[in-house]
Amino acid sequence: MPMYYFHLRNQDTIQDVDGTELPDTDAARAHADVVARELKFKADTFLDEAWSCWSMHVHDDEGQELFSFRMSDVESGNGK
Amino acid sequence: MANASMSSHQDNRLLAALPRQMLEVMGRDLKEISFVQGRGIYEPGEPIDEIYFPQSGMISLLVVAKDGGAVETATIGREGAVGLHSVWGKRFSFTRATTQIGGKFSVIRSAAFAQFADDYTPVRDLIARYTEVLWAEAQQIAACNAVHDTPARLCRWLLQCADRIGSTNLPLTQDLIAQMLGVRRTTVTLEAQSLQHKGLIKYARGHINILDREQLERCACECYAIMQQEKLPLKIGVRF
Repeated sequence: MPMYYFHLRNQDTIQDVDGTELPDTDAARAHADVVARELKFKADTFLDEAWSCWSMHVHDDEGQELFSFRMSDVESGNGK
Repeated sequence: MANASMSSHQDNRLLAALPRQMLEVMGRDLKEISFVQGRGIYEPGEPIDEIYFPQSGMISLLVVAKDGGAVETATIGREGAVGLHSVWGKRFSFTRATTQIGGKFSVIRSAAFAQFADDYTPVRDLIARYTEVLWAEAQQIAACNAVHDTPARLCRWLLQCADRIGSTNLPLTQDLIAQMLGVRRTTVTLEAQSLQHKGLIKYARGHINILDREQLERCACECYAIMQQEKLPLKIGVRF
């Protein structure tokens, strides 16, 4: 199975150094959504910056960006 | 030789709290054993035949879900023990228990420890008191999982691990931490990277080093301070 990397970006990039093995890009989308919700759970900020400053960028193991989304577009499930 | 081994049993705080003569009487039944990380101790539903007192390693209790996933409900280091309730009669493990950090453990057969509990009030008291502490901790962890964000819980958990094994150098895999916190591994990686970005930890695959303990305490939820080993028993009126 291919590896996928889920980086968080504002001015800095917080690297997903470990990556995750997943069957395909659809699975990577679903994974990205769950991770984004977990990160936002009860949290207003990441590294002291509002979620509206952050986006998630998903790369394959050759470093190609497959898709990205703004973290503020993800529902956190706790109204934040 | 006997003295050296007695002192290693005393690395466990519960055993250290027993009168020394009692520990000497127990000596012949108390064994020292080394386990690597990931060693299974109990499975849900299995009879508990032995009681484990960590000297340097750490044991986690995990509730196993139907889909095979597991979530940590308690973590036990040198301040505690697992399987103590098996002295009251034949007991079956409710949770999975595994060594999350390898190390040395004092082990005694439940039947032998039950005899000591029958014979000596201090042993019975110790079991009852520790059960109260563990119960309080379980309640705090339940609340923590429901209301606190992942970075605060991660900081809390790293500090607790450091206290339990007596080192700021933590041999913890991303997988293990994910299981402990009930989140995906990717979430752990990103949260750990953000703590590293702030200079609080050094994160590498399979290893976390605490660099700035004071800051890490500030980033942890209040649960860390509440559950601190030397504070929680006193808070609920328990003295060992």
